Amino acid sequence: MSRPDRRRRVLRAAYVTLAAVDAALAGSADPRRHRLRVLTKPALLPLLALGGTATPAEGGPESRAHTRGALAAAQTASWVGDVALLAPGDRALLRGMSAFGTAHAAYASRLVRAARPGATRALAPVAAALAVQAVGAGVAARRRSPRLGVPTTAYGLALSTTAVTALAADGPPRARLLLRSGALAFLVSDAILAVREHVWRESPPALEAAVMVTYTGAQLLLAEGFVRLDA
Amino acid sequence: MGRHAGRRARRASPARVLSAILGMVVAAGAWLYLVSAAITFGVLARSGTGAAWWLTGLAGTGAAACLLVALILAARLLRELGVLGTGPRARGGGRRASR
Repeated sequence: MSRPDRRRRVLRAAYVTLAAVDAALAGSADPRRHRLRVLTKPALLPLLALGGTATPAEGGPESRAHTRGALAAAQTASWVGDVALLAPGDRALLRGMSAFGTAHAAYASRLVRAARPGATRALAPVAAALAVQAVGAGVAARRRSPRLGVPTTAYGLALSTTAVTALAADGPPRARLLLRSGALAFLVSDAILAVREHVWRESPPALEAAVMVTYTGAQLLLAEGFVRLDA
Repeated sequence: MGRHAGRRARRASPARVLSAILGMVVAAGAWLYLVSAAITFGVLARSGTGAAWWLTGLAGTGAAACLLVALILAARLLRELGVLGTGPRARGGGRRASR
């Protein structure tokens, strides 16, 4: 195994361990443990981004550069969202959605380039279903607070764009599988989050752990899918 | 008379609608530009220029702020046009909330 590969594996293992610790803290009913997340959560995405830097490069230079740039931009914006969502309340939720909306724009900017010909038409029903879901989430958010309705729908549409473009992406089979699993995990994570925030406000802390497990899994799967996209 | 006037539906002010549209277009344009800048800086960051991570972070944060402004203005515009009502009051009390 080459040195960059070994370094990447070590960093990925560190990310998975930290993600497990953070999810355990998120699922804890003890508020003191919850507060420890100011240390774990902001460290997740930088660790994941560091792991990506050591990836051996393949594919055309321009496409490869864009893949790496889009991944770096998406991970940086996701980090901003992670930090924003450490605070409670509607304002934090708005900031978090804006940051993650930006991350999805970066992810989708690369995935759109990798789309299979004709995939857009084939995925139109999926896109429509996800759009309906986004509007539904917006309506549920509006019941909690009127100012959350439009941003939640817009965020849902951004997430749907990432999901549809990941489903439409062409590339090596392993990259496609990772990207699709990552997008699906992101959808599941945000669906649970929406239920917790807007529908079931007194949900058990275990649900927050589920949000974090699916979210950190999604970021890892997307990162692994991206680095294999140009292989 | 005052009470009666208060009940009447508020008319959309053209100046407010126009300024919301203009602000939204500017914020959305800035968002797209900053996302693309973050990707460009991300390319540099990934190729080993350490300082480029800071610029990627700045561009990403700026993009998120622009998107936030665009979304707030979009909501304001839809309210101004009457597409969205003022909506229910934020939760707090009442039978529905306690269920």
